Amino acid sequence: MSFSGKKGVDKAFAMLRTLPRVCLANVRRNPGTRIKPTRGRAQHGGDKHGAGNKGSGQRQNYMRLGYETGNNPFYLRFTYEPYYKGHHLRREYPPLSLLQLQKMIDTDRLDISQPLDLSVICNTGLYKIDPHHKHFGIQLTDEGANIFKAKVNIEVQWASEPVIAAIERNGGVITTAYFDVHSLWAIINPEGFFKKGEAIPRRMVPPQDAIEYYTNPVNRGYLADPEKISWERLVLAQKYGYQLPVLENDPDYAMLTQRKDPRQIFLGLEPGWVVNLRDRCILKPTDEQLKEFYRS
Amino acid sequence: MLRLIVGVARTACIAGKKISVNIPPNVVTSHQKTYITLNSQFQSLQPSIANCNISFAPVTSSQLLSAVQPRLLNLLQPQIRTVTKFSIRKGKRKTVKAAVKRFFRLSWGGWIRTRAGRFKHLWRKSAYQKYRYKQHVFCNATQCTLLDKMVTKYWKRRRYYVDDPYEPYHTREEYPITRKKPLPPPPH
Repeated sequence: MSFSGKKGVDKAFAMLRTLPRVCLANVRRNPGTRIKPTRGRAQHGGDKHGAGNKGSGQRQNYMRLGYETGNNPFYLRFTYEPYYKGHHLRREYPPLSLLQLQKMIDTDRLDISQPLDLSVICNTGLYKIDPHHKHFGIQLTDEGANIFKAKVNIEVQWASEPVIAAIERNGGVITTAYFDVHSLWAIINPEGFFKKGEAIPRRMVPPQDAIEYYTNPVNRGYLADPEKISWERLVLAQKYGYQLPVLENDPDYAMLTQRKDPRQIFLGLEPGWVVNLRDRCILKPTDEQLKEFYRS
Repeated sequence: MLRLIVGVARTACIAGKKISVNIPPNVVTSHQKTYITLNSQFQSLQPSIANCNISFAPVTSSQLLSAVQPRLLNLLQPQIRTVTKFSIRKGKRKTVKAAVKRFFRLSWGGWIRTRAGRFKHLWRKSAYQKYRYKQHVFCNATQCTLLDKMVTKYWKRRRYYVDDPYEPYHTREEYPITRKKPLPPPPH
């Protein structure tokens, strides 16, 4: 092509037509682009695919946890020790300290003019137990025993001696009571239980390894003789050196002497009753056989 | 019967070596040599196998079963000491039971263990060493991480047993750096 007869724009267009087109072959690389020194021979340019060079990592034979390439492994080096013996059966009692209890009372989460039990304390929302985890109720601990000042009628599942002393020193009453798993599900969430429309179950007697604890007046067990308990109250007062307030002279005598029956779960409600929350009524069994069953 | 056959094969190999020595090396290649020797050996062994069968005949089936049974149990319930990341039935992680049998997890994440060799050669060990064997010691951070990987969350849950001898060790309120609860207010 000749540009001789053309001028200006025509000439420029004619020249452009002869030039090669812009394509990947004649475009300059971006500034700063890395140019590979060699041509890789595999999908990812002959690299190691992120697996490192040589050895266990490259072969991706990840060793098992704790394996020490032939050494006696650390986790097998020692003799057995029965740390977790009976873990699938042992009962747990999540602790509640006297300090926490006093704080709940001071912040009006608990009404001490009424008897306190597991359901009342669970309803505060500050104490949680899970029967799935073999939790069997409250273990009252002695933290804050010196500043505990409330006069309460409380029912817990486990209490130590200083705790009993701290409560009885203030004129209160404490009982330790056992709840089996089915009763526990009812008592930790009464509303949820009543909504199911089931009859309130009977509370079962404690298992063999707990029956000694709950029949012992020293532990204020709910199956112990009340006269022996009143004797033990006096013994504990002398041991800890405080003047035992006389229950009979107390204005709240009726409240302080309220106790649940060993078969009873909720105070004021008997086993066999059905609580209907929607119609706000209580259905009681009329059948003689049923009555006999729930009374036994 | 299986063992018997293996034994026969072994004798065949040994005898085969003897024969191959007799053959001059410049006549046959090594590959041919083994082929020839084995072939000839099996032919020569056939009468001896028959003899063996006759001698082993009076073993009763009950005897055989009793000999096999412990091994069979091992096969049915193989010992598993490694971590299972996905179980067959539910695809769940499983605990290494060997770790739980030897170690104890404290609530703050530390693990304790006994000492190795605490029942061995006590007659020649000093009273102080025997005293140290009675103690339980902490694992280091790497070992704790390993053991945490070997167990499921069931073993990491806080336990609230009554009269628990390990109860004071589950928290570290004694040291300023590890304490979690604030200090009580000073007395007036």
